[in-house]
Formats: sequence, C-alpha cells, structure tokens
Amino acid sequence: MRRPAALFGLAGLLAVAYLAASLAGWAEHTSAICGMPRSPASWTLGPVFVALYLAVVIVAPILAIAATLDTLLLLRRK
Amino acid sequence: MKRARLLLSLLLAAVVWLPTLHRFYALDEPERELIAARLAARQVAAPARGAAEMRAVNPEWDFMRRTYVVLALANRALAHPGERVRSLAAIDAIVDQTLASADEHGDVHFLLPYAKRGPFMDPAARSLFIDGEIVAMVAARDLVEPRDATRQDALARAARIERAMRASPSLSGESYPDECWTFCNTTALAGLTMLDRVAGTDHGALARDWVAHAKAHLLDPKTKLLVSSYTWDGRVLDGPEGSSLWMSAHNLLVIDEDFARDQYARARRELGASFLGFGWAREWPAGSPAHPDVDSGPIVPVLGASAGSSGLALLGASAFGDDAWLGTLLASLELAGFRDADGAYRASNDVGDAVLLYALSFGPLWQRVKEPASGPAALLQIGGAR
Repeated sequence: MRRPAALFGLAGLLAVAYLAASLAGWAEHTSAICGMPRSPASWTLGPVFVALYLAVVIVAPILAIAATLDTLLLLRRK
Repeated sequence: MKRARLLLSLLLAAVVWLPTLHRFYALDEPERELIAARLAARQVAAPARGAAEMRAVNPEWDFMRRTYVVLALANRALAHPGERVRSLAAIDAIVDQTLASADEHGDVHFLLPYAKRGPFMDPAARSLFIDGEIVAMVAARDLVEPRDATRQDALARAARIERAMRASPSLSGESYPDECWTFCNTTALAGLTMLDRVAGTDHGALARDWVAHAKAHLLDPKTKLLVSSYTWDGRVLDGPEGSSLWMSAHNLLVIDEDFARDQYARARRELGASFLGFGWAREWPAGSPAHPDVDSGPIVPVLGASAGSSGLALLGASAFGDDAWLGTLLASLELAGFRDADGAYRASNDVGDAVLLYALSFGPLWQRVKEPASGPAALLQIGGAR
C-alpha cells in the first residue's frame, strides 16, 4: 500500500504548497503575466503561483484518482 | 509490471479527470451577468483605477480602457434602465476627462513613445486611433441619450477623420506616423456610423469605399484575413493578427455585416482553438512569423495561446453569437485569471477587464445602430437632450 500513499502524499504536498503560496498573497503577482508586475519579485512569484495552481487542479486530482484506483486494485487482489 | 500498473492508473485517472475539469470553470448566464455587473460597478465607482500603472507599460491601454468601458456602460444603460443614470454619469466623466487630457497634453499622451519619431505622412492629420475612439465614445453615449456638450467635438473629429482617410492612397488614417491599423480604421468607421445615427450625418460612402479598398488591397493572400497594419500608401507592415482582427470584425458588423461574418469565420478557423472545454486564440495564423509584442502579450508555448488575442476573442465570440467558443474562452479565463471578489482578474489588467465587461455586455448598442434610421428627432424623444 506504499505506492498509493506516495501518490496521495504527493497530491497533498502540492495542495499544501499552493495553500501556502495563496496565503502569502502570491496570486496578486500573477499580474506579471499581462506585463504589469506588482514588484520585481512578481516575475518569479506570478508564474510560480500559476504553475502551483495548475498542478493542484490538474495534477493533484489525477494523482489522487490514480492512488484510489491503485488502492482498489490492491484490495481486490487481497 | 508494477510500473505498467502505475502508468495505467495514471492514464485512467487522466481520462476521467481531464474532460471533467472544465465543468468547474464553466460560467452560466447568471454568473456572467454577475461578473459583468461587478465589473461595471467597479468601473463606475473608480473609473481611473490603475491608470498610472497601465500608462507606465502602455499609454494606449489607458485610452482603450476608456473606450471599452464607455461602450460597455452604454450597452448596460440600454439593457438595464435601473443603471442608466449612473452609467451615463460615469461615461460623461470618462469622456470629459479624456477630452481634457487630449486637449492639454495632445494625442501623444495616449500613444506609445514612437509616436514622436517623426511627422505624419499627412501633415494635416492627427492620430486616427485617438480621433476614432473618441468619436465612438461620444456617439455611443448619444445613442443612449443625446448630450449636446460633446457633439461639436465629435463632429469636428469626424470631419478630420474623413478628410484624412480620403487624402490617403490607402484610404486609411494614420494612427502613428506612416502607420495605419485596420483596428483603428474600422473603429473610426464604426464610430462614424454611430455618429450618423445621432447627428444626421452620412459617412456611408466613406465606409463602403474603405471596405472595397480593404477587400482589394488589405487582405492576406493566403488566409484572406485583414492585415493588421500598413503604411500610409498601403504597404503591409503586419499581417493578420488576432489582437486586431476580433475587434475589426466586431466593428465591421455595423459597416458591412457580410464582410464582418466572413472575417470572423476565417479568424475563428485560423486562430481559434479549444480543447477539453478550454478555449484560446492564437495571435498569428499557422505558418506566419511569430513576433510577440505589446499587442499580443505573452504567448503560451506549445498552444500558441496569446493573451491579447484571447482577450479580444471574447468580444469576437460574443459579437458573433459564438456561444460555444465563448463558453470555452470564459472557462480558460476562470482557470488562469484568478478572479477576485470585484469580478476583476488578477492575471489581467484594467483594459483586459474592460474588454471582458464589453464582451459580456455586447448587444444593445449595435442593435440600436442597425435599427432602421428614424432620425435624430426620434432619438431625442427617447431620453431628451442634455
């Protein structure tokens, strides 16, 4: 059952990273995408926040679903 | 075996999740109206919010934001009588401040620095970009309720536009020295068309002549799409670009509807895209050289999605009733725009929000332009002159 746990763990890690970035206000720095950074740090924080967000909404659910499928397969084998 | 099972699980998970994702970002009509109402309220409350920041990047954005907000509020004033008074007040404040700035600082106040690189080819000309959008703003306001205070300024600019276009070998006005844009020329012609409805003038012949010239000389030979920019004497500078085409096609709806629909259909085919419920627009047709600039905005690799083109594609899709694609474009905006409580998108800026507001409000103004002409007297009876 280690692999499903690893997948869930990775999904959770992405969610925590996104939550931390969100609480730190990194969303405001996404204005850099349209060429209007809040500060010089926006050029980094903005794209990183976008990447974290896309990872949370695209990759994390896939990992969680895959982990669930894997768990069900393992349980069925037992 | 274990690796194969892992890959299979991931693949199955992706097949389940990816086609579902867009449903979390789809916006139905009530949600779209809520966003539009919030954006409108935000613009009415603080019309010049963020102007200084935008001007630091591109003074044109400050100017264009005003145009799109005025057009949007004019639409909302027609569609929502309860908003009419405050919308007209906000429009008047924007127009008056714009005219004052143009008078005090000159057209260059709203232009990129290269506007000063040299004189216009037509020594008597002023920037068509500025004149055309001001005429459009004033005429849009008058189509809701005529206002005498700005009519003469609009008529003077209209006369200047017609003179400049007629004097040009390309039948087009310069927005910058020796640089004409289809975006600006079609906006000017749409503004003149609106002005004709309220002032009793007639610029129909100019519009027809420009369309005829455009069909003969301003279409890309491969895609038959309008080019974006050209010199005063008609040499093409930039080929078809989404950041010009969607607005140009929208303008042409009140000038030559068949041509407009042809241009939108071609642009949709060459530049429009969607996948798994998310839509976007490219800036350039396939095979065309890509040179990102301030108009295209950032380009997403692989997809070729252009921020500038995708933003204006919202207006194109709305104006042409392409609700399926509009839905996918809005889903993409919801996914990657990070909307705040005011309805504005953090990854966008005020001009982007203004374009969205106009796209979501589009309809009543163009409908009024296309209604059978009943003369200025009839329009005066609608709301009375102020």
